[in-house]
Amino acid sequence: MNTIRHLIRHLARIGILAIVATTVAFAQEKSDSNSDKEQIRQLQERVLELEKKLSAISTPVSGFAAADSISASIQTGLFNGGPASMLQPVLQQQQSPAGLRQSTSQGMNPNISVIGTFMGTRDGFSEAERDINIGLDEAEFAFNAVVDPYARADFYIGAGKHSEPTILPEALHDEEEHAHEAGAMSFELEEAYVTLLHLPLSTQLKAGKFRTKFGKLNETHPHAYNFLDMPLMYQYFFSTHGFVDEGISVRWLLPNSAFFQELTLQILNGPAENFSFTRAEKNRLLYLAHLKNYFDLNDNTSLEVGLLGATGPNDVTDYRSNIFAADVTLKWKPLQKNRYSSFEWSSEFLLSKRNEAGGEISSVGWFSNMRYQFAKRWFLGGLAEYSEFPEIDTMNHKAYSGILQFYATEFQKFEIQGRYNDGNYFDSFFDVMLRAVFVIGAHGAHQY
Amino acid sequence: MKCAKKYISAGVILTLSLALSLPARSNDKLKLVTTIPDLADIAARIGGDRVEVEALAKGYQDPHFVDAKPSLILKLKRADMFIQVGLDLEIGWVPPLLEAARNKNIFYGGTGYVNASEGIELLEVPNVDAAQLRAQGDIHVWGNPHFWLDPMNGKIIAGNISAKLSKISPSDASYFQNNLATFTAQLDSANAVWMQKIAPFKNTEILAYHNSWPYFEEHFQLRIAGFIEAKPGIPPTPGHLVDLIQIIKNKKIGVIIISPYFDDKPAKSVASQVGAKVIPVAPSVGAFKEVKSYFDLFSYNIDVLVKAFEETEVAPIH
Repeated sequence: MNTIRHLIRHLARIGILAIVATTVAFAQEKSDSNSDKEQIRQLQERVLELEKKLSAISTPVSGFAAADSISASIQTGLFNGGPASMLQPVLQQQQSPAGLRQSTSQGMNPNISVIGTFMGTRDGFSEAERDINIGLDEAEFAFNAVVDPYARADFYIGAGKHSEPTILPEALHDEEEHAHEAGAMSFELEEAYVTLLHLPLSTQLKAGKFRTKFGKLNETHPHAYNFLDMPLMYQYFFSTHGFVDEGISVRWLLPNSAFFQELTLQILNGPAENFSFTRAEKNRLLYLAHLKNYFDLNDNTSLEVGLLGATGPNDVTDYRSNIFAADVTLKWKPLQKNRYSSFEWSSEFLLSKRNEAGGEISSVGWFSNMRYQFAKRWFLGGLAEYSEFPEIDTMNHKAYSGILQFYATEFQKFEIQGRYNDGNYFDSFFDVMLRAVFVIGAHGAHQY
Repeated sequence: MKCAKKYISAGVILTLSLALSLPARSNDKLKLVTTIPDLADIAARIGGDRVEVEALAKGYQDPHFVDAKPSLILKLKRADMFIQVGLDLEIGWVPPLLEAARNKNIFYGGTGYVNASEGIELLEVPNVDAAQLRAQGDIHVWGNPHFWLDPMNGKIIAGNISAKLSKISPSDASYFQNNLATFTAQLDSANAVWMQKIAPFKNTEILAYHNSWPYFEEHFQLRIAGFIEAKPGIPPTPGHLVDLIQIIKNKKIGVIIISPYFDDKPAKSVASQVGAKVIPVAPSVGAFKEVKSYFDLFSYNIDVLVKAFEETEVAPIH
């Protein structure tokens, strides 16, 4: 059948070429005639008509769709070939309509994107240290692709300035860490992991270095937050980058038909830079479990509730810390005009139980963020925070912020945050942050 | 430590109690999930009583910006077939859903994965360096993805779905092919009616809010003279609206079409200054309550356009 179809197409093409050739010859012969243009126009129409007939022959009916797809792909590929199509930044694993593009070596590249974060701040531990800083805060390089039919891989490399938490109590200052604070940029492998996507029992396995499944926020990269700084709770209990570690992670989609429920279990090596946990000897690992429950309250509103438990060593040989946490996120976004207004409220709470030689230290941290979208590009938000310290439950830092965000497009945003800081180990003060985030390339969507 | 045990026990009990509410398969029908309702309607016509079909997006939603809600993952988890428009229309939400669905059958290249754009003759494929592409706004690298708005492309989409269904359920192949033949014939006869209705307005120039309509424009021989958006996805500036007003005056344009998910204020502002009409049109099945099927999609749009053309009494340019 394919042979006959090829023959028909071939004959039709020969017919079109013959008509065109005859047309040209005829037109030249009659070049002195006033009706030349009209005749050419008529013959062009005839050619178009024949092309339509050829196209009709090629229109897929029943089982011929695949063969015709290839035909159309080749036409599209030839028509749009050349340097432009070879430089496409997007490589999703869906089939390209122009099948020929996929055969180029460029087409085998992963999704590549670079995100720049420009920051301006006026802050500091004391009035004497308070200063204005502007500059590139970070450049993040992301590489993502499906590895094969079973897995995908993600790599994130960040070039940024070393930083300490907003206002760290003197007792927790590390002179060695402090020595890094010269504003020098350094590269760091932020995340690198492979995910096996289709394992039995609705599970997925992730292995490598990654942002742990702590609460709702931690897995998301900071440039996508609704506010400009890492929440105090994360800064003081983990690090300015959040809670990042190496190990394995299993996600189980629970067989619950009523609502979405996912249990994440992570076995971690123990983070290198973290105020709550540490790398330890004698096979003492860090374990984390998070249960995500998601409900659609109606078409426009959703509620997510997460519960978490984590336990891991807090010193080299003996002691452990246990952390219990909860996260709640309520989102409202009208389906029909979802680009013009929305509302989101997200809160997280943690309780840390740190065992030490002197006994147990119980400390808490929380933050609550609301954000309202009042126009297509504009968002107004508020953030309330409170944090103690895993090693010091008598000191606390409270902060209240107002945030204004302007999204020029999906690829560029400008934000400003004003924050009032209060606490029992420093004089209260006000600081301001400005941020511009811009992305080039194909950056994957963040989780809902 | 007692406290820790209490929390862990509570978590385990909660998890197990919720996990035990196991899903039950209601019947043996193939479960088809599509991104937009247009694909769902076509798939239902080809699959007939052998399939159950559900669309992830509503017809009044912007298909570029659907949220990848976890509840959609559950629908994909249970699907035998997944049909998407492709051409990066759903780039912001389908990849994270498919990767989280744990369903290799509907994953890219799987036995149940259908890219509806296969075989479509694409329009507006950009011919510029990809690194410069975003200077033009939200341009799709593979070409304009709104191809289902040409009813003849509906036949190609149906062919793609029929071919995949026949592979998944070979014993029903002739049933699917008969349905395809019926659908194709129905579409051809309906198209003849639509073409007849719109024929008096051949080459009539209109404005559109967003560049969703090149396939519709080409098939029904209308001419879109400009867009309310400054560039795809970029809101109009006052200067751009002034330019549009001039275009409307020069070309004597009487109609501005807009999809229901866009803000109609800029379009109405322009229209009010030149006596034009803003006409909400259906970009997808389900956009309005009257648009219940793929056939309704074109009937509705042709009817509202013809009515608007007649009322504005703008002469078509021949």
